[in-house]
Amino acid sequence: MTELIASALALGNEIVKLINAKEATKYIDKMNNLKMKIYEEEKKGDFCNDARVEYLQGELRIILDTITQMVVQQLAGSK
Amino acid sequence: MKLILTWIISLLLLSCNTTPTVYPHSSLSGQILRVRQAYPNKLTNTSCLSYKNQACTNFDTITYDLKDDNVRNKLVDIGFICDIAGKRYRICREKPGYCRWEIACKHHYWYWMFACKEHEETYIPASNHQFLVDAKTECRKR
Repeated sequence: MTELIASALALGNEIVKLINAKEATKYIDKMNNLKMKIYEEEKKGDFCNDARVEYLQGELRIILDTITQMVVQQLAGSK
Repeated sequence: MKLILTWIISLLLLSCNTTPTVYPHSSLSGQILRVRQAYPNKLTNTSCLSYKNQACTNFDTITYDLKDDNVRNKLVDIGFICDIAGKRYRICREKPGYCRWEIACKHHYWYWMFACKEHEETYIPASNHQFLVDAKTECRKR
């Protein structure tokens, strides 16, 4: 996994903690689960299934987009 | 009867969940390309076609030969950028390998500090295969 995605996820984790405690655990668990799957796949080295990694990273991006939308909604609501 | 049916459905659902999914290849711009030991001078993308006991038994590998001018041009046009040992390289258009521009200073006198900046091209040939494998070379669209 690229370092950029890992950093984005770490930031996503922190933001989720700040905005909504109930929803936060759900998204953090999902993201960590996906991170573990990507890590396990990439650990296989030459036998890594690239198509699976691409798919899992796509899922991660969707979760991050959802978090972004949540933050935007939260900020709009607090104004 | 209802109980038995519930058990059968649950077992079916469980067996569906444990079967690994087959992921098809993405379009080229969505692919992650890696240098693999078995494919010198090439970038590769794999997908597993069949599994046995959760382990892949049949890989489908697409290869991109960097010695081919057309392949290099296509990858450059799409905008592939490579990570080689943590450094950012692009695929060279004119030769088979990876290129990177770096600002270097050949003069070491402090008063030349602002005058001695020069651009130097670092080039890693695709034939330097073992280094590229060890450096975990990975390319994707920027």
